Amino acid sequence: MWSQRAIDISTVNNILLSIQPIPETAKRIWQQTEYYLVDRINEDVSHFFNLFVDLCKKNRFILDTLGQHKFSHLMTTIDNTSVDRHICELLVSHDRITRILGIRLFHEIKVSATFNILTLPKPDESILELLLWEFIGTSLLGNPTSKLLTLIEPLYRGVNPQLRNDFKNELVFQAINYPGSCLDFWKSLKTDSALIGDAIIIADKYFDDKTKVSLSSANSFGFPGLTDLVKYGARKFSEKIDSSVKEKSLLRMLARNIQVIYGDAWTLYNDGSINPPSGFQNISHSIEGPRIEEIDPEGMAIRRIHALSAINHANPSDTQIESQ
Amino acid sequence: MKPESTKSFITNYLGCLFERSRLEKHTIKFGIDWIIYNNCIAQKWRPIRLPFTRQIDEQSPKAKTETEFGIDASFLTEELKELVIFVLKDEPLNNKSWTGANFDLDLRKAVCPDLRDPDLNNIELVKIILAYNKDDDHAGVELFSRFIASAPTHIRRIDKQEIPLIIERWNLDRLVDEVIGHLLTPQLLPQHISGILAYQCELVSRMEYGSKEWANLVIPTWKNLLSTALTTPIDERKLRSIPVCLIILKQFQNTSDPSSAAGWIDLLEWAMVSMWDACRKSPEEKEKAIVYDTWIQMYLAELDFYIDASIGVLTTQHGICGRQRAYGHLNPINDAYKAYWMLGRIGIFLVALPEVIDNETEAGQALIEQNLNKYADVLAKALRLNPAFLRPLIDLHHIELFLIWLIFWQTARIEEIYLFLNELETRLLFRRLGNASIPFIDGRNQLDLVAEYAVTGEKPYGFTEESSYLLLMLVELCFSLPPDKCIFLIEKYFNRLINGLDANGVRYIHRITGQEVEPVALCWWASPKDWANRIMTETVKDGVSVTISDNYDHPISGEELREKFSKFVQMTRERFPFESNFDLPLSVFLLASIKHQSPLPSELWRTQIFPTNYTVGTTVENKS
Repeated sequence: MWSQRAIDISTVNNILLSIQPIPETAKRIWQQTEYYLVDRINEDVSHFFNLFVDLCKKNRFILDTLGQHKFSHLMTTIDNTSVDRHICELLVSHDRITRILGIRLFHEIKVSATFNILTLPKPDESILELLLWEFIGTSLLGNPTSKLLTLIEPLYRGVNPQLRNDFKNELVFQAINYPGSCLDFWKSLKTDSALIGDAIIIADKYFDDKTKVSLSSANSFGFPGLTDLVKYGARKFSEKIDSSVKEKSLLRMLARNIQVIYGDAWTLYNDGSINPPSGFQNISHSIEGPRIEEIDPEGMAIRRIHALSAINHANPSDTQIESQ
Repeated sequence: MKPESTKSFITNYLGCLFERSRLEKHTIKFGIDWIIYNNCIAQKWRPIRLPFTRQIDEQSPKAKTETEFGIDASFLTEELKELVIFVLKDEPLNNKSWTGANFDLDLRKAVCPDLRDPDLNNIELVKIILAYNKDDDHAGVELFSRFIASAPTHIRRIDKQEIPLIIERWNLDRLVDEVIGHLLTPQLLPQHISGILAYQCELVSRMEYGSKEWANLVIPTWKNLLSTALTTPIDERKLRSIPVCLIILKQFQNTSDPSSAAGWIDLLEWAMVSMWDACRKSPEEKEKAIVYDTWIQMYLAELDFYIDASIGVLTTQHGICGRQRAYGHLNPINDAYKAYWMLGRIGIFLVALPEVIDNETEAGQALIEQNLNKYADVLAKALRLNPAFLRPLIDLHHIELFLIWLIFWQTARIEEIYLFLNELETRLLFRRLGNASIPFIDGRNQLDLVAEYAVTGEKPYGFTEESSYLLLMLVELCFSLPPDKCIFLIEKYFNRLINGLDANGVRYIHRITGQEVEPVALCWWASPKDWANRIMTETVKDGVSVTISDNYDHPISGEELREKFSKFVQMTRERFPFESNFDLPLSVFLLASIKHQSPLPSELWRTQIFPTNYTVGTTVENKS
């Protein structure tokens, strides 16, 4: 039984960093790297994040794959570890890569929105401004968006009026973009935050105004052929989901797949006997899509580019990273 | 529609009818006898005598030539107790016509009807109605009253029983009331139209506007009815029958379906285009006046009502927005379709306003200015709050973009023009580079391909984004701005959007395909000389296409571009002068272009931006 390591962890870390960037195609090496990182987080969370940040700085590949559910073993481990404080520290870092890592981790893991970020040293307003731009330049789904904004909101309460207003506008924007994940979630918090309270009022008015005009004639027709194309689009979407499920499901790959066309119960005839029929189980998963991406896709793209331009303008020496 | 408008149109229609319906020299004459007949049938009265022979397989009933003894038509009421006799006249009731048009003579004959018909054995009342589809004067009414005073008050039945005899008169107003009360149905129209109209009413009540069924069934049937009703030679009756058809159709509108209001506008528009085309075929000024009257009192009035009802949508943030999620960015495509539909109608309305309001008077000018400013405010707000308005999908959307520009130009909102063109360029650029999930503009106006592209993410065969008349128009519109802003925008449009070059002169890479974007070929179009004649009936796309062949692999300065395009405008005007004659209001041509999906001749904006004495370097004066 080995009670001592043959080599110091920090030496291994330095070797790992010095051989970067490892190409994306070196799947075996990345697999081993992932196991190594899992061991590190199980040992010491702070040291893990230091290493992870340095790795991201050395190799863009890690940052780019966040959100694509690679490194699932590592992400699951992080998810099962108490990392809220560390994530928050990443968010308010002076370093851009670190901030982006913090934001993108919201995609992968369940960060609690209850952590009191004010327990950390208060960052400069310039960092908060950059954080806001970084967030705008990144596309997160509803749940991570609401958690992240809820988490960092206390930091914006006492800032200069322009920044405070910008943050409030972002809260409003996301409440409109994700009415379920953001607006309804913030309402359920029953918080005394003026920023969130104002955002809820404005977003509620937006939806009330829209409800009043939703049945207007000007909004109630389509171009000829729209109905058929909607069905076609739904089929294409189902096809994509189906093929990606097939790719990832071992069961689907190995087992025979039978399409039951009639009946609401099913059984099999095998070797002269019929088993008792069983019903079907409905498995579904839903996520809230961003509303504004459908209403104003050009505007959303422009918004992200503007955010990135603002970041690059503020810190031209920082690495220029494209939006996801 | 307001009840008074309905009444006005029905009155005008009934007032122009002849006494008798008949086929004469291959032309169907519309008469009030048909109205009376159908009015009575609608009340379930049984015809006893008719002035015509009904012909199921013909377009019109055949007028009888037998002696009538003063009686044009007679009916038994539903309970079979009352005999109603009609004496029909298509003359006003006055002193002259009392004898001159045989009012007196026919009434004297009618008060002695033959009651030997066994169907009349049990009647308890005889009513004689003098029905005339004109007005009356005091003398005429007095003569009629004196006639009643001296006429018999009873009549003897076959069994010698004395039954009361009542004499009434129905003037035009009374006839209108009767029609509104019982006959606002397809049967109000002549036989050759009423059948198609009945079918059309059924379709309108069931089909949704914007569906394929609407495009493939409702509109072709409507166009068939319009062409059937408006055969040459055009006369007053044929023209006036169209608004009546529309009034009847409106009743069948499925008001529980919100899209039906837009469908109503669509039907109105096709009718107006047909009517304007028809009145051109008539030399009579009276016919033009009828169409003009319908244009104002029906189309523009309804359009005003519709736009007013829709202002809330336009000025609400994201008001134009799909109600259900649809995969593949179909909603943004449909939102743009709805937005451009609305833009077209607002534009037509605002162009029409100065054409119909007297702008010689102060009050007229004030009214025009008030309305223009009101809708310019709405439009400015709509452009900010509804991104769909800045999302042209097909090259033909240059019409609506021109109308946006025109509204701001007419209200001297130069800054709004600048903001609009600037924002539009940025959004189009993002689409062109594949950054926005919405395809770029299709030059061949195939909306179905645009939608397919949005759903699949793959450019379908036939989708044409390499040529554009729209982008050329936008460049020319930039000349309406002060020189500094004109130069700034022209540079952006030409170098970035059209030529695909970034600030360093490097070609943009398309985000999806990974390929360099190709320059867009700017295609100017010289409309044919008979454009104005043909646009009312068909799509006009022939003529000459002039492509600007200069392609640059480096950015060009705004000053140089300004000079280049000015020369281009000058040369194309000299080489292919616009010679079509605007014999109808401009708003009518705009409507026809939209309905027939036809490009607009560039002279419509060039005439405002490049006056004939324009030279390069001059600032265009807004004389609106």
